[in-house]
Amino acid sequence: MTIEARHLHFHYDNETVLNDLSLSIIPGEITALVGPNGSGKSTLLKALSRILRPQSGEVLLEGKPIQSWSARAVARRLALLPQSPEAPMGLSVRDLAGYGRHPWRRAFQGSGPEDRAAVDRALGLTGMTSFADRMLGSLSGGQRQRAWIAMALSQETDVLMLDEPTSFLDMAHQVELMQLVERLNVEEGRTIVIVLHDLNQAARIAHRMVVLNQGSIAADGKPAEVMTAQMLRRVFGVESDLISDPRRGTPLCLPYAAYFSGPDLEP
Amino acid sequence: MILRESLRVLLVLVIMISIFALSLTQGAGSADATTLLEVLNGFDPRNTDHLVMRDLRVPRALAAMMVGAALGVAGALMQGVTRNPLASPTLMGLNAGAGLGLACTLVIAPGASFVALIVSAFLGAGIGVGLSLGLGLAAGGASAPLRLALAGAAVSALLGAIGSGVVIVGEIAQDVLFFTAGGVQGVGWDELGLAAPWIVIGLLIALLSSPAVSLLSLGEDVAAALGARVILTRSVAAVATLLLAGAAVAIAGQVGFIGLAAPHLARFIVGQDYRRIIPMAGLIGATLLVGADLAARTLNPPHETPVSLLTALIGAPVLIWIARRSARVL
Ligand SMILES: Nc1ncnc2c1ncn2[C@@H]1O[C@H](COP(=O)(O)OP(=O)(O)OP(=O)(O)O)[C@@H](O)[C@H]1O
Ligand SMILES: [Mg+2]
Repeated sequence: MTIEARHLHFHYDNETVLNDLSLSIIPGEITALVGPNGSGKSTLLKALSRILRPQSGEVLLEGKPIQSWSARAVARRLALLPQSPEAPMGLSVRDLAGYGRHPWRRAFQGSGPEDRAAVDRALGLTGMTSFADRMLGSLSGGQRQRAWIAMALSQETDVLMLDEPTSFLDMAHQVELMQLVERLNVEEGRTIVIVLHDLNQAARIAHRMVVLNQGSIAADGKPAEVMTAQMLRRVFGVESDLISDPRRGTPLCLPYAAYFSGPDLEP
Repeated sequence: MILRESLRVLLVLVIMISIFALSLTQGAGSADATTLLEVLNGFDPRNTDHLVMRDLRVPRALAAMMVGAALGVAGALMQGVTRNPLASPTLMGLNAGAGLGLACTLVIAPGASFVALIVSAFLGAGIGVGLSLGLGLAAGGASAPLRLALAGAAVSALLGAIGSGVVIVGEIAQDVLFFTAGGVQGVGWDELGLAAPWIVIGLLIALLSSPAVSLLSLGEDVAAALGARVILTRSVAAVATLLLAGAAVAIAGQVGFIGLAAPHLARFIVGQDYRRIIPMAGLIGATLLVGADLAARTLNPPHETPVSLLTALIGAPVLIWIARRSARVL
């Protein structure tokens, strides 16, 4: 499943959010999308998944303009979990996960054995099986987030796009989710695009890191190439030390100060 | 769980049928259950009770049923599409627009027929919804549901004020009373024939779009990501709401609370899936209005108690009960 963005331009009223952005997602890879708040990460994911239509430029899915695919056909190939989704609080976890089966069903068709199996599997993968019959309103923020991830998983798509899926998770569940992402990638060959604010986590699991800054790609490549003190200063505005992860050898950044641009601080 | 749910659905059906039957057999005059059976066996045009049954009771009960169903379904559609649990057809400029259309017609053509009034109320409702949608969606974008709710409230207030002005200046307060009090008294086969097709079309559209509305209730980004056609669904739901609530307000005036309470009651019975909420809200709305109409006729005969008063009396406690029982569900 190839996804290619060509010269995307997107703006709200007068604010440019994506500026002549081109990117091609490599099938079978984990691509981590990072960047400061407001740099356009969520907007890019929505454009890549046909939810937003850019004012100019185009996204190609398997070489065909994504707008020429039906929403349902896209949803069978690509699952997107938006940044802060909200569902009716009275919905049960299982029902929410069941919505992920929608692209595979006809409108009034009930859920068949395949659907139930996919939902059970998604609940199992996210550790939500024991919460299956709880209402969303009775869950903690992290549990709710895992219920949403279960929905995206039950969609059983080749491509999975996750927008900050770890923001409410405790340490153990963050690590667990990272492991899940890697497993889906390695064992099932799924293509994953994930927005993360934790650069070290991103560097650890991603084959490729794409750094967004003000709607353009500021850096793109293997984590070891992208995570440099200079990039962290220029894009994120922090001074940091970089060391190597003792377990994997991927770069780890340790920010120690905010970076003030002044004449005497310029490198 | 599933058994309990189907039991509840069954219970609602039984209640609805019993109330409908009661509504045909109770009321002023001597027409009763025997009359109903007689009429079913062979209508006798010389028998007054038969005439009462055929020309008054049956169309009135049918009208209450259709209007109630229309309001319940319209409310469910609006709540699903706007993700606003307080959305109801009363907002969105519908009732205010209908009232204004009616008042204008009464001032311009004092002797207008009931049919002309129905048509002008429906047109007014259309203008009200059109204005609300136009203002609410003009800018587009993410916060559309909230903007829509605000626009609806503003348009309602504006059209309502103009309508009151027309009523005062035209001195037609007595003539519009039937509209403000609400109810299906005076609805015969002709009026029913005028409104029923629109309501039936609206109900069909609502049922067909219910899977998409269910998706929209998860938020438009998630819905789109799952393959829903967001703008199409919104527009179709808006058209269905207009047909349903517009036709309802045109023949029954301002009947409050059903559009708000029926979807919540439905949710309580069948859960959060709009594929089931929408038909259930229709059933419950129908039951509520047939019941309210029955009460309106029988509480204080020969006077009619205003139906809008009764629906509020039935609807409000029910709503409060639900809110207390399941604060988290709303
Ligand atoms: N509906 C909207 N209307 C107007 N501007 C918007 C809207 N949504 C986003 N923006 C603007 O677009 C820019 C990019 O937003 P986007 O959500 O893509 O950023 P992001 O990189 O995902 O940020 P974050 O890390 O905070 O999630 C921001 O400056 C934001 O203010
Ligand atoms: Mg974002």
